[in-house]
Amino acid sequence: MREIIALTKISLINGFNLHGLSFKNLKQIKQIWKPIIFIFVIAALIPAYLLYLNFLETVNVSFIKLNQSGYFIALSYNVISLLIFIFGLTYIMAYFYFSRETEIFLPLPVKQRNIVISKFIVILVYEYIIDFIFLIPVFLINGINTGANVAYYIMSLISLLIIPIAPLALSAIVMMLIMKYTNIGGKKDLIRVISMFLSLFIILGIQIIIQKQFTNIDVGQEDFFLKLLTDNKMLINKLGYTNPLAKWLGTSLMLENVGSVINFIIFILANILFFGLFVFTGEKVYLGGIIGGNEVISKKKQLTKNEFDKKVSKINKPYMSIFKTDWTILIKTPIYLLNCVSTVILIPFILIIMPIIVGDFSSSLGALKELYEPNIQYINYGIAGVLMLFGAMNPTAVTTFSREGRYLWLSRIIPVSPKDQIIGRSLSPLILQALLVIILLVGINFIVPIEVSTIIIGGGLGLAGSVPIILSGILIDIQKPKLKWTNPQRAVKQNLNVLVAMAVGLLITLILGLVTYFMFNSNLNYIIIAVVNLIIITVLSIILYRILLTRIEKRFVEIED
Amino acid sequence: MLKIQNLSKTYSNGSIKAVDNINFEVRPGEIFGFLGPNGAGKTTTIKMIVGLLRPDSGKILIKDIDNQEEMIEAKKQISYVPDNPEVFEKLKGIEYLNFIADVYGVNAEDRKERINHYLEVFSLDKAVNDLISSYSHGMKQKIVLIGALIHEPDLFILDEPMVGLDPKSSFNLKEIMRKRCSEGKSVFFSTHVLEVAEKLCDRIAIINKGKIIAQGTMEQLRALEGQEQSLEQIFLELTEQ
Repeated sequence: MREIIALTKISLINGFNLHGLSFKNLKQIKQIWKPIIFIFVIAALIPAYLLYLNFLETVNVSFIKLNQSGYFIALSYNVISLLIFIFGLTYIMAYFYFSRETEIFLPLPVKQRNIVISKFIVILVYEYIIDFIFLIPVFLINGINTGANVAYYIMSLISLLIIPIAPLALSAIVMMLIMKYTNIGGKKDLIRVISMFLSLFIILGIQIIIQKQFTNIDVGQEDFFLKLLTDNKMLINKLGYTNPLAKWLGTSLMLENVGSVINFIIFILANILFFGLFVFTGEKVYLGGIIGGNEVISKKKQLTKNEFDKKVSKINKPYMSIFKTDWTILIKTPIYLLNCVSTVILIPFILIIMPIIVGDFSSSLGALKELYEPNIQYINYGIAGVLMLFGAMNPTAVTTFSREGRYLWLSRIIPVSPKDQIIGRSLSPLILQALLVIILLVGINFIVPIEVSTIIIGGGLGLAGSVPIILSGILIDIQKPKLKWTNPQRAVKQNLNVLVAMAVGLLITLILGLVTYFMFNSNLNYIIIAVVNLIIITVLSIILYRILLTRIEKRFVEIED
Repeated sequence: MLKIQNLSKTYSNGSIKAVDNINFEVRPGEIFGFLGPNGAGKTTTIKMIVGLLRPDSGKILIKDIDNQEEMIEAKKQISYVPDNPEVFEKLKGIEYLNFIADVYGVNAEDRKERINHYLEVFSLDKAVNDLISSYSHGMKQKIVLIGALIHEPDLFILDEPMVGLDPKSSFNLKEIMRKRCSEGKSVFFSTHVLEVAEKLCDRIAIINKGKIIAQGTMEQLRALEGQEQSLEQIFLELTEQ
């Protein structure tokens, strides 16, 4: 226990930069900007959070009216546990395997088990910060609307602390097994990333299959609503087939009888069991995945004359060289691949493919077509807006300098003009946005055959609109790149710049959305609206580009000051 | 080739003078050594020359190009090898070298010939197609050195260049430095290894607590102390004063 506490304390201080948060640091004028920016970002996200609260209230009231109050908690747990599991995979990979702390801990005379437990606790603390923001309102809203008693709130508080454990433990188990059994050959990183995606799709696939098999609700059946109104656990029981923990939590917080308390105890025990399995797995396989896990195979094979000539003959323009280097590092670093590139595949999968597989679209297809065709103009702009929002959420542009970390000195000394730096660094996020546009439009086309105008306006504006968002991301990062990181995850995830860029991207999208709305209200032709949007995007991009030209030159020299 | 005029750099709102009004010059065809104890201001000076830090005052002229006014032009004249060779670990050696050749505008023929030559000199020909993350510290140092040499810079700047290099590579690097100087190019490097500086450098400057306390040829430095002494003895006496 003493070892666990010591390791966890060091990891928390280092991981959250606790000394850097001291008031003494803030007294320096230069450091004052950090809390100001943080407050600004929080303020910018408040409207979105209020929308989220409103959404929760609406859904909760709906479920209560349908006599399915417990389902609200169960469903919320199901969603959050899935998200914790998915994102947990990258946190575990980064923190358990690619953090420099691990290299410091391993030679110490501490038990392997204690290292994994302390690392788990650190990630858990990080999860708590995120989960509390999203889960506290779930419990509060449900409690207020159902007139819950003190016991409910006490159990809710305990649940908040327990909820991340099982999904995070499962993430850790999956990741530790992948890292142990893919510790082979020269393509280790690639194998691991593929394995991670495979595990993700397998687990999601299992959920989907079970859900389809056991939750075949024919909403058209006459007695469906009768069953809903008479059996207050109908939906929660069906959910329980795919996620029994969701069922136990949901039913326990209904606080109907002794059974609720028993379910709560089972929920807690299940989480303890998952944690125990994680510790057991960690003891057996963690070292095997990590020792030699970061070794890179060198073939030491001399290139033949032809091979050498081929590799050095191709000359690239400086911006192309910057782009190729950036793209290579993005693809070859598992953390960056998962955080920046994989979202291009995951978002369309979660938004489109999963509902197609899970839902019964045959009856809905006609309704969707009826919705699409007469409202195509609005839907086109809606798609453009959604694509721009997803572009704002992608951290590739806003971490372009942060991802280089301690290598940034090289970019700063080479004779490459700011213009080439901007172009070179914009290409990776632009390509990713283009991929997202293509995948999403192809996916939508499977549900409802889309028209050319959707491709041009929805896709075209969605791509064009990402340009100012990308440029603003690069500008944000050059102002204060996060360079001193021991774990590449910190460059892309624990980076305030990413939040700031999201807020700015949201603002740009909102402004364009408002302008579009007013133009529609003024009965302007939708092609003119598209042209006006394009002009605004172009002007904004030119302004941001010009600002970047001078900022990059200035900041490259100032960064170390 | 390189003129440093009244160069100063302070930290913590002026309370710490890392470099205090220094002046020196590196002439064409000369190897110039920059010596000093830890924390004297060597790396700070070098970083200002290569554009990693902005001076508070003073001028840095590289082939008469002010590196604060015409940064890109100034950078084209130099190359820099830091003391800690951190480079993109996810690139292969050959990819890194191509990247450097691209940004410095080295044509295909020249880059083929030069990369081949330096890979052989530094015995990296078998490892160049491997990821840099598989390299040892010394190999990383070498790949950065090769990268710094392939565009044939007029001013070659190195910070502690011998650290991490094996004896053969150290010897080869010294030979490269001498050859470059015989062609009219210049080398400017900082080092703690005084024997190397004594044997290799045409002129030396010693910096201590941000100020240049001595500069000149070995003979001129010996004349300062008025007796025949090794550089080590001169250095220790001057820095202890």
